[in-house]
Amino acid sequence: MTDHPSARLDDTIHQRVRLGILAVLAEADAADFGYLKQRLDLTDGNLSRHLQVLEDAGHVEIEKGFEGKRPKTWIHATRQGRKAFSEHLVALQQLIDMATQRRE
Amino acid sequence: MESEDRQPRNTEATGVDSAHALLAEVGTHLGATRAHLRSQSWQWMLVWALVCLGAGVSAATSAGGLYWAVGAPLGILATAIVSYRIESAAPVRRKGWPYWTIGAGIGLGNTAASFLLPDEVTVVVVWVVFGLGFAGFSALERVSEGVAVFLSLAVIAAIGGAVLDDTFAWYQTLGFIFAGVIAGLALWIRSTPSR
Repeated sequence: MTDHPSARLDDTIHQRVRLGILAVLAEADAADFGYLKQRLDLTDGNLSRHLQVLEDAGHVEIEKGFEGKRPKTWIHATRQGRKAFSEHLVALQQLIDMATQRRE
Repeated sequence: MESEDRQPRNTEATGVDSAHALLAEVGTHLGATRAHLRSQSWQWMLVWALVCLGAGVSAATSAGGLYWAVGAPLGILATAIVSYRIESAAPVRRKGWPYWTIGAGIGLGNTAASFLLPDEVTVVVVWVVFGLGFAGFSALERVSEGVAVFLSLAVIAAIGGAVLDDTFAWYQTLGFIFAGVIAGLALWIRSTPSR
């Protein structure tokens, strides 16, 4: 079993948009579709596709509803998604630290 | 370990650069979302700056003792209205229960103090509890400066209460100090760019 940090990188979230989505959801308990779209500078279709990947992996939950007469979609990170996100950040940081140590 | 050592330098550099870039981007999203969430808090903070100001002003009058029976419920009602308004309009939100738990802690702590302790002690405990409570609110908002300021105010309130003879005058002074500090923090938060 390898202890290299790259082995602990989660392929599903090692993608800048999906990591960005989880970063927003790590800070807020919920974000609406429009905020994520604007924050990450994506089209509706592109964001939907990434959210679907995260939902299939069990990292986010998507809640569709109405606010007044307007449809609103809220996205929450699941406990598993939060854990995967923080573990991913730790692994990335360890990867950087390891490379820095080698250079020194 | 051998395979790590054989990893080409340029591949490793690319991986590390990419990790750096990803972490930097994550930091930007975290910071912007935090600032966006925080940017709304000044509204309910101003409500409590007014409540504290009222405590300072009313301390000089015969209504001083009864002030919290009216001021605190009005503050809670105003906070609930402001929070509801913020939550329905905001595109990102945090769970409300930690805020309401701290608010309830402040209310219960002060109510218990008013029943169990002598008046000259209660008037100091009010601000110690307020200081701790607002330090908690600041922690929820991830404003470390606010945590430090309110914890310091709680300590200063307690020390002043222990060493000063006239705790009622100290209560009034602290009312104005808390009003000023909370209003200052609210205006600072409001002026901080959210994006």
